[in-house]
Amino acid sequence: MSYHDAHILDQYAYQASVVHRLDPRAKIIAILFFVITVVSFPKYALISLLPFALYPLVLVILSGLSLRFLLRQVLIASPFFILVGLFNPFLDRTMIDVPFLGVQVRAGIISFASIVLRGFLCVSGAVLLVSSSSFPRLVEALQALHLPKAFTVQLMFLYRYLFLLIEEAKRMSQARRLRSGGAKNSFNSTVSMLSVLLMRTLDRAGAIWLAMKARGFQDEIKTARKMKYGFRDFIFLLLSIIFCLGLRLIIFEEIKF
Amino acid sequence: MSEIVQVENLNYIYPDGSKALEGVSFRVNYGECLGIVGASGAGKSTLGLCLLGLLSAQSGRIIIDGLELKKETLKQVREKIGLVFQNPDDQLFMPTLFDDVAFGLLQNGIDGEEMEHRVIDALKERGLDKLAHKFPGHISFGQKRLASLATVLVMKPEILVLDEPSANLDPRSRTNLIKHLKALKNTRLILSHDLEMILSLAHRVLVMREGKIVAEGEPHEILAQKDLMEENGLEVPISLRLRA
Repeated sequence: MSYHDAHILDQYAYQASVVHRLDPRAKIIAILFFVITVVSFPKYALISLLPFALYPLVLVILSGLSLRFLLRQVLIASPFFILVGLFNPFLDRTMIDVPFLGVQVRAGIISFASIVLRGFLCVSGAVLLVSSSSFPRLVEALQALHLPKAFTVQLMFLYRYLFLLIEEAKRMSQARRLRSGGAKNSFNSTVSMLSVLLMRTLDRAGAIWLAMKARGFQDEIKTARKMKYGFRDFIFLLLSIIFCLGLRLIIFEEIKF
Repeated sequence: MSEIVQVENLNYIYPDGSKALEGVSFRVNYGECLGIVGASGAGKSTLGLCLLGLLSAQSGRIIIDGLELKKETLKQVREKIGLVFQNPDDQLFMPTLFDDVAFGLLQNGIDGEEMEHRVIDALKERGLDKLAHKFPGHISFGQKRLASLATVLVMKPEILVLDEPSANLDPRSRTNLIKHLKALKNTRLILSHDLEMILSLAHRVLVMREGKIVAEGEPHEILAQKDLMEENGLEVPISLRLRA
């Protein structure tokens, strides 16, 4: 993720659409339910997964985000899930019938396509979640959902210092470029730059720890805002669960792919 | 009792063996503004961290408002003394300015309306109330500096320790900060090598070199001594040079 990408995600999170106004706890649970439902399908499921694209599509429309933005973010993450299924067509050579088309294809190709589609759907859900709620609110929601404090505190700091770390790395890279006379980064210089960045990060972590201790920090970050879970949030969560369960259990129960 | 801070024979050695403080002793009176000057590496920041018990001195005593700094008194001492760090980015670690200023109050069990009033007042006094819900990473350095001051002042400490408060500030932000520091009634310890600022704020000044206090006195007298300043890696402030 570049500095620019980190900022773009942040900018979208502070809009005021109906999706942005929902309680982040409702959104986290709904997206989690969506992801679990999508990954719960059998490995050759493909057609049965297609209707699930409706969910992120509706959320994109309701949140006022652009489809192009969503696709761009999903494409950034796509190498990860493409790599997961890349070898399936070579490893799984069983031939299976494709319904409606009357042709046979390798099962590995179907399972690869299924992984890509699942990846696409799950990442869409995650992107929609972080671009319709500010990261701090999401962390507060995770804290309210009783995730371990050590985890939520780390997440909060990750967000707060991500920008500083990226800026620091950018400055170091600029300084290297100015003194390198146009030569490309060697392995050695990259490793030494990373080690310096790590040392600076450790220094900063130490200083923040002292600043927190100086103001009475014990082991929990207490925030000033209170979460409000309203009727609208309840309806959103209910509709999300009905949609996912409905597709999973009722409509496509009999479809093999 | 007129002394709010008493430091007696303080010694601190870093884990790598370098001596940061050596036999440091001084006293500060209620409401006094004490400037502690010295070149980089003189031990000013270490002294600031020791005063809050963030670093434990190997020997010596620190007494804050009658309380000796020990493990058992750490919480009470930290309620009386606040430290503004050199780099405001170290001090502003929450998602919004409001949260950052509220942090210390919430940690100390102050919440609800009292917390809100105190946070808003602290931000308003520094002209930052409109930025309350902004991400601290997205404000100017001068605003960050004032915000880090607000995070400490909201706790109403009797003593304020400021580590290089004017570092990296543009001239206007620096003047603005000096105006804010001048208006404070708290006992203040300003650790800095910005001698012009010390001159305009401090009632008394200590000069540090290699972890030791080498001179003490009225700012106009001490900072005007060319030899003393040069021996300690400092320069006579321009305003004093022009007067001479």
